[in-house]
Amino acid sequence: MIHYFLVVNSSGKPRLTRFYRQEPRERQQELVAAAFQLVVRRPAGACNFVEDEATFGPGTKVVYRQFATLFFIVVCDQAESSLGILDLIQVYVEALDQVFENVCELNLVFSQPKAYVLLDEIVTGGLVLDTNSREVMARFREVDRAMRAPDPSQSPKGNPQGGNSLR
Amino acid sequence: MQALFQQSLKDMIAGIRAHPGREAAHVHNVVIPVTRKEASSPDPRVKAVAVQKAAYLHMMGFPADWAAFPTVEAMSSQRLSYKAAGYQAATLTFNSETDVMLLIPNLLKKDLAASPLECCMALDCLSNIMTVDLARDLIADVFGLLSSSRPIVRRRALLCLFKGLEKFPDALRPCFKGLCERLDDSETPVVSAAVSVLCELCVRHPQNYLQLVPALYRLLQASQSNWMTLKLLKCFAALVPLEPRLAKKLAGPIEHLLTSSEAVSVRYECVQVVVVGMASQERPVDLAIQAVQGFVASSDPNVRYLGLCAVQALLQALPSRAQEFRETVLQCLDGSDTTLVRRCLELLAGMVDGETLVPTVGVMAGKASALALQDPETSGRIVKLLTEMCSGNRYALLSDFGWYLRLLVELAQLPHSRHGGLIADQISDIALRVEAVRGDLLSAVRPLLCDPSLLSNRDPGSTVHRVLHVAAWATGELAALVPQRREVLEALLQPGVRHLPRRTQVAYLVALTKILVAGQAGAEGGEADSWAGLVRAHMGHFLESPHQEVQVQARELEQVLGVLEGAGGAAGAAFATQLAGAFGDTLGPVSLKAQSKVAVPEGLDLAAPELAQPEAGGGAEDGAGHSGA
Repeated sequence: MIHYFLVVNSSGKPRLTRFYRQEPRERQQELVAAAFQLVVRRPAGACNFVEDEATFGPGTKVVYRQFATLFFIVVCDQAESSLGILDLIQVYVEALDQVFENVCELNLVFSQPKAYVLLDEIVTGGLVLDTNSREVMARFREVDRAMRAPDPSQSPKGNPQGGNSLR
Repeated sequence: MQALFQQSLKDMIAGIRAHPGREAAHVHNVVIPVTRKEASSPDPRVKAVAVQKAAYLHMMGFPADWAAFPTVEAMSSQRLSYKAAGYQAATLTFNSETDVMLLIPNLLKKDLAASPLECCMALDCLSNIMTVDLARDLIADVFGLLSSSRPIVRRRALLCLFKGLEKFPDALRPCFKGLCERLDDSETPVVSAAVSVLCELCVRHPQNYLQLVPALYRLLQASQSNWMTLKLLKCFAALVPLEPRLAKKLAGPIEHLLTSSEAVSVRYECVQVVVVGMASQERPVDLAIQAVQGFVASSDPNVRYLGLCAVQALLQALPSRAQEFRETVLQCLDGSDTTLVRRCLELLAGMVDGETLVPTVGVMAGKASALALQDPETSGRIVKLLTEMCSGNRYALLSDFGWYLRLLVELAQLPHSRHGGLIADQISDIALRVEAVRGDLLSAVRPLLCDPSLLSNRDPGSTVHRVLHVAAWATGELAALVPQRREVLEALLQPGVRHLPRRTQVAYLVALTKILVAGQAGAEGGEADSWAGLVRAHMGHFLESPHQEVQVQARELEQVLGVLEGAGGAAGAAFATQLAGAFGDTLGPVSLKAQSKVAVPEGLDLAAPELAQPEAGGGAEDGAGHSGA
């Protein structure tokens, strides 16, 4: 099972955090900082796996990948395959790339809700839902379309911004 | 109207980013008050945007508990986008302490029975925020969705069901049949989800799932998806140790996967299955060993790491086969990747035997020296591990103590070392237990005492003084064996000693006393006088030490010197012999449990206070007349 899915930038700022094990807010911040410290000093060419049972609990492993200025860090237990999780991160990043076209950190900063919706099509409750990028994208588009549908209760002379200001 | 002027989520983020270095102040003073107000707005769109913003603030580390009730309101909205905002915020911010959780079961029930999109949203949120109460209230509804007509709903329901069962295990029995029926679902992704759930259950309590072996076996043979194969293999790794007949049955599929699968992940899981329960099957074992050889020789560091994990598993199950990898593991030690290095170290500690101890420890000590400056933490771990390897089981594997002592002395001098205490303990332990090497021990530690650079070590965390302490102690304790007494005395009298901690200085003084006395007892007159003169000439800094203990010990030494010098000749030698006799009893090591074996004498109550309790307001004078027992 996946315990946490974290996306942190190269200064340690959280860009997207999913805690599949419930933690209080202060502990969440500690975990993000600890995960960042674990991966930031790794040399290039090192393997993508780290162990820190003292922080994350016995039997856990940390799988991470760096893309440009972002670290994608997954903390999981022994029921997950390490290489499988590495693939999962790849699927998510490729999906982000399709949604945002040449995705960069700013996309995650300003369009965080979309990034979460996309992640929720891949992992739910800490268990992997889908690893097929075509399927994931198809369902994401379905959800996105439904969210963009105009509000039937709004009058035509309503909000000048129009449409859905939640995107 | 409020909606017109509300900052969207993007605007809020841009606003926060426009205050670099003062984000916290901006958020607390401006953003949170405004968003709080918006969250209590009657306009559902304003509320939904506010809830989104609150969730973002929570992720950044700011408190957003004030948004809990508005979040529930957004979740109950009819409009999908507002509902989505509510659910997302709930997933991010709710935990078991959130009191509004009591309000959501009915809301979730309603959405679970609604359109597929709303149902999926509810299932996803529920999977992430599941509590015992939610599980008890909603697990029946989730279970019902296992027979939904949409595959995606069935998949999400399966995974959500697992989260419910985690919190409310009593529901497992009634749900089990329905769960297993999904293994025969017409849609492969649904079967995959069912396998994922069963894998999680199986890994935790394998003994309850042996009945599933036929179904899982059938799925393994038919599986087209790597992901499902991986999960099935993990199930079997948990089941095979409990059912020996399974080993023979699995031989076929495992051999097939090990020879034909291109995915390293699949081959790795096969190796795990073989190692935990198929040691009796020759061909799978051979194929597994071949696979591991391929992994550890790979140029991809991730695959090498998995190879080392596999060797670790082999070490527990098939230690003789694991020894074949010793050389490769030693080579893997030679990198800068701390994950691999740590794995290698654990492996080496487990693989070592009497013959391989010396070369393996030699390589490890070399690595510790190489890493001492750039990665002191890993260097320290290596030192700790190699002392455990050498001293484990009362030095069972160690035959050459002289070599080990010289190695310890080298390691004590590594820069940034924090393992002085560990090395000191080892040296004192060997000095006490291994009589035969005491002479070697003194020769090994003498360079430490004589080295002036160790005395001027300014590193605040340095522990080298612990080793110096033990070196001085050993030299004093074994004073009769000390060769080159003059050199040792000069070393103990170096001016730099006054920078050492006070306890170490006291140890130096005690050692000086003992060596002097031991020397007097057996030496010719002239030599003995010159040693006394040497000590008297150079002990000035001890007498003037700011530490009281050091001064006291130094004065005692001065008195001894006075007696020796004053008495002269035979009387001096007689005095020295008497004193040497006092130092002569050897104290052996004392067990940690020794105190508990001492019987308490009859009539002695250890818990009764020794002094009369002072009366209230009595103050200090009560204790004045008492002396220690």
